[in-house]
Amino acid sequence: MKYYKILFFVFFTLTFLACEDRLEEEVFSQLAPSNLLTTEKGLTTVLNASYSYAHRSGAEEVWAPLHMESMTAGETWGAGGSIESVWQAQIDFTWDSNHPHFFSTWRVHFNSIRDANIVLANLDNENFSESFKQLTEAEAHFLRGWNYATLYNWYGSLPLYRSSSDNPLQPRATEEETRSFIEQELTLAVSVLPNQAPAFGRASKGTALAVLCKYYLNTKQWQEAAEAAQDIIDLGQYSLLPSYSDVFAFENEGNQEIIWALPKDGAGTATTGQALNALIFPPDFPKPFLNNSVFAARTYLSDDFVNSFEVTDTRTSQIITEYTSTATGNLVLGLGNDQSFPNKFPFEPTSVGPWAGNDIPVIRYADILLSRAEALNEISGPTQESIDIINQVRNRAGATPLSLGGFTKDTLRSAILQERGWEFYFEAKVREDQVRHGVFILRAQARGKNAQDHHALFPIPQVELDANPDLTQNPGY
Amino acid sequence: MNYLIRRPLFWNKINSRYVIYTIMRTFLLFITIGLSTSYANVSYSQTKLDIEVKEVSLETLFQKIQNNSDYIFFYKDDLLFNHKKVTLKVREATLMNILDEVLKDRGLTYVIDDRQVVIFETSPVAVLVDIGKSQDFTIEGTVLDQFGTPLPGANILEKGTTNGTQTDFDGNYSITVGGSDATLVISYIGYTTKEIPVAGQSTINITLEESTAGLDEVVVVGYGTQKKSDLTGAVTSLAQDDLNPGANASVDQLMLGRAAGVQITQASSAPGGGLAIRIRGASSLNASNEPLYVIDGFPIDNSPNLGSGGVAEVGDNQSPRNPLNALNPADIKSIEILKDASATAIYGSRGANGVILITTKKGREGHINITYDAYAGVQSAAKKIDVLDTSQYIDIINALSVDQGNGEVFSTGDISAIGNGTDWQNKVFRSAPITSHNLSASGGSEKTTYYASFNYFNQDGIVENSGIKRYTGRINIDSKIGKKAQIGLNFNTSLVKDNNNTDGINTNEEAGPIYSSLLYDPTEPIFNPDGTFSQSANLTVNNPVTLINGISSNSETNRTFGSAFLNYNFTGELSGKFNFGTDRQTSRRDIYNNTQTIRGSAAGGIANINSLERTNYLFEYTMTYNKEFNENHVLTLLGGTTFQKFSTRFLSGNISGFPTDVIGTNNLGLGDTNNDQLNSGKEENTLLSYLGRVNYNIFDKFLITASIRADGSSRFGENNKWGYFPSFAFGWKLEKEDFIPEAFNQLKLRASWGQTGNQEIGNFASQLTFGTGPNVVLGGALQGSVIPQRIANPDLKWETTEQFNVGLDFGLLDGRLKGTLDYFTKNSRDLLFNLPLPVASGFGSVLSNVGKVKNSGFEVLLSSTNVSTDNFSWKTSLNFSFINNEVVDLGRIESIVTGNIQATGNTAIIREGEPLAAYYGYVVTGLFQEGDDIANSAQPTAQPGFPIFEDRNGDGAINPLDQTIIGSPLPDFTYGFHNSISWKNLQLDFFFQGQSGVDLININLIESLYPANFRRNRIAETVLDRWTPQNPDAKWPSSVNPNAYGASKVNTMTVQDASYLRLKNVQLNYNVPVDNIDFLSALRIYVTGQNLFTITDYIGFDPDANSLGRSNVRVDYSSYPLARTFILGLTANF
Repeated sequence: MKYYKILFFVFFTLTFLACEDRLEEEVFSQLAPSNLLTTEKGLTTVLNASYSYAHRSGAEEVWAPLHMESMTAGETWGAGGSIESVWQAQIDFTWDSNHPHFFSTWRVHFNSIRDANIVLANLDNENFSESFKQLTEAEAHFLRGWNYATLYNWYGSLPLYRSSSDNPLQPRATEEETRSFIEQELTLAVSVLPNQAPAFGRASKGTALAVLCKYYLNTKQWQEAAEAAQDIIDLGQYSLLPSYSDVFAFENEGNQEIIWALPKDGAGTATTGQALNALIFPPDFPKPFLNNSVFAARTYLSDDFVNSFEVTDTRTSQIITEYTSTATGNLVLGLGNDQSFPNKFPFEPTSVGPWAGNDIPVIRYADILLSRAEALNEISGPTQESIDIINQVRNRAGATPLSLGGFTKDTLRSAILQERGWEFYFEAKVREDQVRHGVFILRAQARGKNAQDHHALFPIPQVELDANPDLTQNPGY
Repeated sequence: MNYLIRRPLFWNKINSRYVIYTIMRTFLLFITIGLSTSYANVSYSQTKLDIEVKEVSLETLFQKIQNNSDYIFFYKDDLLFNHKKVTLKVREATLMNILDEVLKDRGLTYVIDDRQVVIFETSPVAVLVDIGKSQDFTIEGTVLDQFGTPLPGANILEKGTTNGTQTDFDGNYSITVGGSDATLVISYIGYTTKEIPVAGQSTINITLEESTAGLDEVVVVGYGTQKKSDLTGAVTSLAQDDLNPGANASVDQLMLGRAAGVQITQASSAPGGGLAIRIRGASSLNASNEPLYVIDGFPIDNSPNLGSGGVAEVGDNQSPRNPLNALNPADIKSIEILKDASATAIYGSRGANGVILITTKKGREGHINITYDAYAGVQSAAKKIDVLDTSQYIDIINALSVDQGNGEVFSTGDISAIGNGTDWQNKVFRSAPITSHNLSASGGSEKTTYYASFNYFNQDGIVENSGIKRYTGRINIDSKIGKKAQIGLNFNTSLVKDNNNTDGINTNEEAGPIYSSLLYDPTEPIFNPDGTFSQSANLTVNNPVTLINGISSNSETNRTFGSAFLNYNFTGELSGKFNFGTDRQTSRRDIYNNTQTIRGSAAGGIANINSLERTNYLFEYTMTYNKEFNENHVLTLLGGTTFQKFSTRFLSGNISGFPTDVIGTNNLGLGDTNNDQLNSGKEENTLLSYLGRVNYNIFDKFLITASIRADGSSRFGENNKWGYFPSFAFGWKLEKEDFIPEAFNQLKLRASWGQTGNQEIGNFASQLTFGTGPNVVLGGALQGSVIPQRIANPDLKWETTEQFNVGLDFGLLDGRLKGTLDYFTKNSRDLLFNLPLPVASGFGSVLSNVGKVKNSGFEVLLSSTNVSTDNFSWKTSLNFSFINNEVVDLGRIESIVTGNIQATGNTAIIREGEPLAAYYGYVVTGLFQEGDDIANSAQPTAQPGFPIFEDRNGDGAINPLDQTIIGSPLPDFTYGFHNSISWKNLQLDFFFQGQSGVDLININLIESLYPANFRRNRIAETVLDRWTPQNPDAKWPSSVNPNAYGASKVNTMTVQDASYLRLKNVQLNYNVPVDNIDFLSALRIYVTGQNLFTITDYIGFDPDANSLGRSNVRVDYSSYPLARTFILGLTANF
């Protein structure tokens, strides 16, 4: 029997040694909520993530909005590279809910909302200073407002995630609910945010006002838009730069005309860099710096657009109409072939291959001025104030000033849309401007596209509908 | 019952039938074919025994000796009756001392043969010996195994008589037979018995072959071994003869096509490339579908090694190098593939995908045997893709350009300047050498046996700048300590140096040389006039030759694994085994993308170093109780506990902006530190298990097996740490029944049911944690961020697979025709599924136990000896399997699209009622012709020559609702067909393998039909037979503005039938007669051809490739071409 005793002893010893505490999972290289979200520094890193997504971190995330706004409105066209079929759908109005740009823009802004919600859910902590709580809360509200306003512009009413603990399967809110949420978030931000942003890239009062102003304008709340624009003007912080091209110069980033920009840095390659030029210029384009490189795709402006500027208009400085091929040494003519290049993001010396660090301007002071002019015209136009404001922008550009005489409300409206086209080409404004002016579909049809009314909104990504049975697609898709 | 019943071996002096009465005391785990063989007379003769008995029968005495030693007694059943009782007290006596003492004056004598002691009456022997002496023809010789190792203790019998002898320690024998026309019967346990006519020869050397056919073959099962005839589970056992010959870098390549129900896909044909193995289909959506590998009882970590790229702006081959490359295929003795739940449930939470048990070679008692095997060969691409040659390219580009409304691209002057252009595939592919040297030594003494080997393997890839070099060493030692304990050690160490091929699913300037060789402009030169690499101004694809020279990606992996055990026999019936194993690997990969490439040039050179350490250790204690109550009831119980802990650490650094390319990755600090990226991580997980099994054999007719394993894993939610995995099986040896015709020498019906689990998900999957988020630019500086990694799921638990199996094993005509049939259904539920969430919630999915997948199938294995004569034999074996895979349930969602490929989009769908990851896209019904009413079609903007997409929902438009299932990545039917023909010293083996009813999406074809750049080259067929007004019956669309075709690139033009039949290998062996060479005991010369031809309609390098590696989604995108290999080798035994 002694063998049995030995063996049971051995067996039970081993069994006991292998105790179940060993199944506790220890996390070494990731952070637990309990030690991350309880310090100001920890929570700030989550806020940083919300900003990163609000700045559209990623490659496609940056270029998709430009192409969604520009290609669909006929402002630019593109060819080459594996992106060609993606563009072709935008140019031809054949996009559908599987179009990759919709998914990437949808996801990046909602990721920002997720992280803003985490910040808001964890602010109630006695270890945090009041000033930290107040500022951080206001920034989180701004971030939610900016993300929702942007998405609303493309997709219409949205599922509202107001808290981290919301059921992941949210249905779309009504139009009314979506709008009031956007307004509420931005208004909260405006009331608390300081005039000076804590850092360039974070929100200030002016930033929140500018996003709110554009939201009011796009939703045709003219009075509110005009007032918000005036509030920005009254801040006295912003002004037009004397030279149009200086606005876009790499060394002028963060100039006083930029109210809200998405800051970029090529050193972070695809995460924080942007590859817009890589999709504009061809491989044989004489790139000024050795470290610039481009993809196979090109983005072009049409001759009609390039030729529409007044000869004196300096805004053509950001258009390249010809170049000398590095491959053949021959001059390649863009103008005359509908192949001029928009040059809003000049090649910069610190870029890493295709990844450049030029910030993406979203709302410039010029936009606020023209928004006020448009709102005033809609309220009681044409007015001299509108004309004066427009002329501020035209004068800077060296274009002939307008005069009130000869404008009706309708013709001034058209003139403002035209002015915006010259001022903001390839700045992701044109589709929303055409939609607001009710000409987006008409102009596409005039270009021979099979454009239908429902194309004024983009479809909700198909995978989103597949994952959430409570979500409904925009009509027509 | 788990011991071998032996036949008496010493026939020459025994002329009556004996009942064998034996109990073997060696614990089951040590019994493999090699170890269970008998030994020369001297081996146990020094065993010292202490015996004290008083007035006991001889039978009791012998039993007592058996219980205290390794001896086994044989005697005629009535022999010991009527003998007086024995009283004996001896210490430190040998068996001979004892037997001499007790048998004297009883008319009995004995012969000790190794462990076997035969007791017989004295008188008849004299008669036999007399007869033997009356004629006088003596034959001498040596008995060897197929590797030339002498077989000590083999039996040589004169046919039709009881005259016989055994080989000595060196395998030599000498026998005197009745006449020069006698026939010798040579037998050895575990080997096929041979009959050889003496035909007047006085020297006969005999080579025996290991029997894979023996019905009483012992197979390795989970935590033990079992007689094959007693198996109740579905187990495929592959011995060396059943494995693929030739140059195989890893063990799984040895099995490819050889086992029914085991689909092995060489995901990448790069040297040492990864494989995907599906045993009885794919059942898991997001957890791994790979089987568990157990090497000599130690479950290893088979996680993928470091990838080949994906950093440094270099293409990432999604099929990382095979972690099993650390194991030398020449060390493998046998492979057992456990398929049904009865066999796998003992591995519990890791058994759902099947278990592959690998047994390495062990030493055998006897003189040292040295084997040297060397081969060398050459490989070339089995197939090239037929792209446009230079003149075709010029013509097509000009024609397409005109058709697109532009002028001709190439003028007559250009054409004459271009000349022959460049065949880029020829610049990228090469004829590549392969070499292997394998040296092994084995042998042993009475107490200790050993096997040791060293292998050097060097395979250059058929794509320039790729290859593998491997050095492995192994030592296996088994030793007895005293009478009751055995210890053993299996130790394997390896150094693998990979020169990685950097192809994969990346595109454009991040893609590798295979991709660019298919797309790069054939009118371009390799070099500029100044000798630097040229780069087309029209393409953002690197010159393929630049890629070969400009990117280096080298890995070094050191992996050492092994196990040590101590086995202790508490009593004759009860033993315990303590097993300790560990597996430690460190890998480091260096990538440098130099300034000659497009990205490398822009970044000033990019360097990346990635290092990975993976370790795990195992503690295991098992006990076995083996009891034969009487001959009708045999019971084996197994119980145990095991604990295994895994850990992983990694460190990676990436930097660009170097002053020069010379330093490569040797000094990252030379790069621009503004552009550096650092990353590291550490993870651990733990498995704690209890296991038990009962085997009960009734009347040697009914076999019952039941097992259970309880597994606790750190990976699961707080509420579900433990899982329980039972199984039950029943076998019925029908051949023992009277109603079964005599022709069946085996007919066994098996049925099993059981549950197994799957825990192969990442760590922390049940917890909410925060990890590194994207950087953000604030105040002009980069700042870090953290983001939530997932939604916590404290209820996360095992995936459970419930499998039912019914099988039949049969043998007919003395085993000349044998077969195994199995039918199974495998229902997996509570799948570890990344249940999609709307990304608006901030999370793409939550890992949940949702959904059901069903696999069912039928497997057949047949083997037959068609011809068997003295000089000629022909054997055939055939395996095939049908597997039907269906996603049964996905919880609250109906489907999920998946398999995203850059610039193509999602390629596959997981949808209820359909096969897992079926291709999902549009149906092309034809091409628009001139005169068609296009304006009123569903594609109003189409042009003649555009594909017509089927408007499946009839809504008058082509939109995502028109997508449907357009192909299955899972074959309906897979098969393998092997023939072995021998004639005298020659042996020819050839093996065909194939699959049918399977599709594959061809992304390279998509690149041709929808070129990302007009100036890219194309697969010739797609443009040579394109639609034009003059060629309205064309197979392919017009290629004019293909991006305006609409719908998606995933359509019935680009998802192709991937059925194939392949002559996988042919081997011709010649056994060189070495009788006159003293130092050689055997010499074999062989020639092997691999992948000699493939019959398929698929346009691509290999219909079996998967550029997504082990993923359920199968995609062919610049996959590494299959190599056709010819090798010449020799095996010498000393």
